[in-house]
Amino acid sequence: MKKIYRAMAGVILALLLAVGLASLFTTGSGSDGADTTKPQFSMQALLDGSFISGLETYYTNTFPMRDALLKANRWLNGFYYSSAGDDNILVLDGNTGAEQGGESLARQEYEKNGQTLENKQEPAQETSGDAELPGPQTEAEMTQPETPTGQTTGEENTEQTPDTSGEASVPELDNPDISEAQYAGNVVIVGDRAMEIPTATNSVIESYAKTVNALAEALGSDVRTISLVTPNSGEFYSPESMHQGLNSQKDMIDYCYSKMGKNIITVDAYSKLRAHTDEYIFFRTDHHWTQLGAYYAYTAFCEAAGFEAVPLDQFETGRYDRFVGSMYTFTANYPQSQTLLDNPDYLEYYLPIATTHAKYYADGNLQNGVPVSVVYQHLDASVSNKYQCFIGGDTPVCVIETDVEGPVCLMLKESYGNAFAPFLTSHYSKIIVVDPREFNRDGKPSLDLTQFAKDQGVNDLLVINYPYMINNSYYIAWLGRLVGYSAS
Amino acid sequence: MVFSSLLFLYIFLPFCLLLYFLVPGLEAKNFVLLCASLVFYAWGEPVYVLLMLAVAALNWGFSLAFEKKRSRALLALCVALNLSGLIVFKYAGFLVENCNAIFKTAFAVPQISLPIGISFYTFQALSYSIDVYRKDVAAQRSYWKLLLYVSMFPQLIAGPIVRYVDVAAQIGARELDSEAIFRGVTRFCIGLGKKVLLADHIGQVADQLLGGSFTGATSAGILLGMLAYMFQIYFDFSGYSDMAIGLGKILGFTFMENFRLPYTAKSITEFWRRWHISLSSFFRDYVYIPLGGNRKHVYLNLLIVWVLTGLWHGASWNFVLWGLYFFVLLCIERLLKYRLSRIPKPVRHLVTLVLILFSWNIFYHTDLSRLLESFRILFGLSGSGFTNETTNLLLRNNLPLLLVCAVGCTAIPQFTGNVIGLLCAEKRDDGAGHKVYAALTFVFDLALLALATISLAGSSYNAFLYFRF
Repeated sequence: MKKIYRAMAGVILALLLAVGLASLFTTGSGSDGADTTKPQFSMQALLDGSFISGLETYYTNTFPMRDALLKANRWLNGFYYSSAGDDNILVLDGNTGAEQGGESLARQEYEKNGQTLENKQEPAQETSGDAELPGPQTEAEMTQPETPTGQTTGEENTEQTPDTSGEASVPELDNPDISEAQYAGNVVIVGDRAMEIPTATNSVIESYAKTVNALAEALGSDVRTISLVTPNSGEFYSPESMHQGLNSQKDMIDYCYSKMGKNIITVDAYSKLRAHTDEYIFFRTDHHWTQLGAYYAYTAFCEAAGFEAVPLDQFETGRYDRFVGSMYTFTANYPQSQTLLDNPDYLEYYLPIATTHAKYYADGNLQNGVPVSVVYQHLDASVSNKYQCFIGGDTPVCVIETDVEGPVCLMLKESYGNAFAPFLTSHYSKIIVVDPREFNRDGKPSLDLTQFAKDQGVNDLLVINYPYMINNSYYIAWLGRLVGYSAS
Repeated sequence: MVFSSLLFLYIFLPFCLLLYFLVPGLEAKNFVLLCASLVFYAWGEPVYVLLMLAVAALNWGFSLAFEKKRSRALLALCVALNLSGLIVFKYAGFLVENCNAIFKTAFAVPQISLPIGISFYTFQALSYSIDVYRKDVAAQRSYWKLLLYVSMFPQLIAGPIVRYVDVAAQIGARELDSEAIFRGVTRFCIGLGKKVLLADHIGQVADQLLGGSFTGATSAGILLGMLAYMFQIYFDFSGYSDMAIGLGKILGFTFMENFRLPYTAKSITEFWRRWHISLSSFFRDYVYIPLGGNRKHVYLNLLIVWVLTGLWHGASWNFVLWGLYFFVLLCIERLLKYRLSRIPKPVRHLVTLVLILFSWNIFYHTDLSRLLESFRILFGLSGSGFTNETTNLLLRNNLPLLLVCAVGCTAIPQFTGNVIGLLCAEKRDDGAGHKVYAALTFVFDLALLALATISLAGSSYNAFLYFRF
């Protein structure tokens, strides 16, 4: 019997040793996006513990058969995140980090060229020739876009990176308190649809409204300020109690608008979307609206802002057949996400009618722009996030010039605005799209929106957001910083 | 380093054990163990390892002095020095903050990070010195052997608080028995499973419901969060103790049991005889009894012990509150002893569990305003309703895990293991039954190890990396 015990204990020890030895020689594929770079040794890093913790992460990320283990873990998660019944349900903490910034085509291409963004970030003030955007572009996507309706000319594809020095000074503000920034919300999968379920924090929503008021005040009475807060798919397709009470996005939007000044033009996108919930207005595997959803919001915008909306049938359309979006990626570690993969979305886009020229820029100096298509019709198959076909995803500043005789629009947005922007090309001579997440904080350039708007001769300011953002004090802080305002 | 990491499981542990078993003689094995323990500690605390060396040296010196001269003053100095280390590194920030708040002073709050395991190894070293003073045990002449006792990696970070008396003989002479080693392996795997497969997962539910924003939180949500935390803290802590005891067995040591199915207790008094036994017996032997125990001013003694017990768990007022909560409950049980014993057992058990459940909510919230808010929501005073769809879904998602946790807290797993053992033994009385049982155990160990490895690898999957748009 002793021999058996010794043999069995020996086998287990040998197994641990064998895996341990193997683990010393594996380098990891990083196929799941895990960081597989070895931590740099320094005495300082050793003493403050960062070297050791880096080594632990490196070890785990390069562990033998990591891909197979992750796959097995997804299977194991079927127990931990059981649907407990026939329905396919999953509820996760909804802190998705969307307020931290977006993703753009360019950035993805940039990474493809072997550099990671993190290594490139430098303090905004000191960056002169090495800003993170724009990076080198691939020809197919940036320099020769298909332009049947003439979105871009493909001129001057500059390899240079823009100059970000000497921007206007904006007061530096403290980061918002982390406890304030806490916002409630969940990501749920119900059946074959994944949704974000925001929870209202009225004080935060109020600070959003006040921030919009502050933006309006800063830009002056010559500029019309238009606010559009859109619901997301959770409002229409989640179980009833997930869009009631504190989860009612209608209530959030109403409350938000009620706290805005009379000078703010508020857009009732809600009713238009509500009237078309039987159509394909939101993706099921992605947290965005479809461009059709954006179109209905656009009709509401036109009513509020005094434009005549272009009828839907006048747009030339096209489509990407298979699109598995952000909600799938967020839940990929859980077996419930399988139905999302098995039932992908498709993406239908509407091309601008006007002739457009668009470029994006790393900062408000608008130097060394990189040409962009307002709607990309031929995204590379490797670009899995098809939503990036709209103005190339989230970039700091994107300027769209049209052949329309009209006013100038400045649009502040997160990614919901991307699918919306193409519709504006029928009414404005110039649309300047600014992503507040890309300015006035660590490693990002600064931007004084008041001066910028003056310089650009802006007539309309459009602030467009979805409910996660109006409940997110980080995002609100970054919105306010554009004009040196702090709601807290 | 922590036990529940791939690096420990596949690098540190096997290579340490290989060396340990290969080197001949106890002296050499002790040397390997000491080196491994220092590496283990320095891995997480490259600087504070010096503090541990100093604590061992301090108590080594004092205990040698006690053998020459039993002086109360010297003992007081020894205790004071030990505690001052603890006070500086664990309580300085807390003390200064409160001093500033109460006396309106403006001292800079020292930013000292807590050395891992300091509360455990200080108590171990202190118990050794006191035992030598009391002549319960002879002083250890060798500093290295004493350091081995203080720093031994299996119980260094999270207990049990091993008494020197219990392991003194084993440091000098112990046998490596293959059956004990195998049982140690099994015990370790069970502990690993409790920590990685149960505690870490149910802990996510607890954090989701108790740790985030309370906006929209409901009574049922808080209740579920509390229940999840109650499971988490038991499986986490007892899992660690299992791993420590198992590793001890593999190395030839026998450590005291630290948990005996605490959630089967039918009174708070009984709970504390089953929960973190090495800590409660420490306070009993070194604080409660010296103060007079049951013989004089027993309630004052209890009060002191429970304030200290609370503070030992952390430098924050909620831990004091948590200690006082138990003080009150224990006093009530003491006063109503006979009347309470007439209540039917199931009722007593249920009430005890509910009281423990509340205690963990106090334990969880180091922020007192959030503690209060959580109780307000729990009792429906925040107007957010009893439950909502999210809570319902969360419950459904986690139902299997909750059930496994609930069963895991009872005697059922142990009982099942025993029954299987008996069945195996009965079938064949030529000893083959034992072999079958051992083989089943072996498969069980491997399965736990595999599942834990999968889960540890999976926990490093970070969806946030992707979700930046």
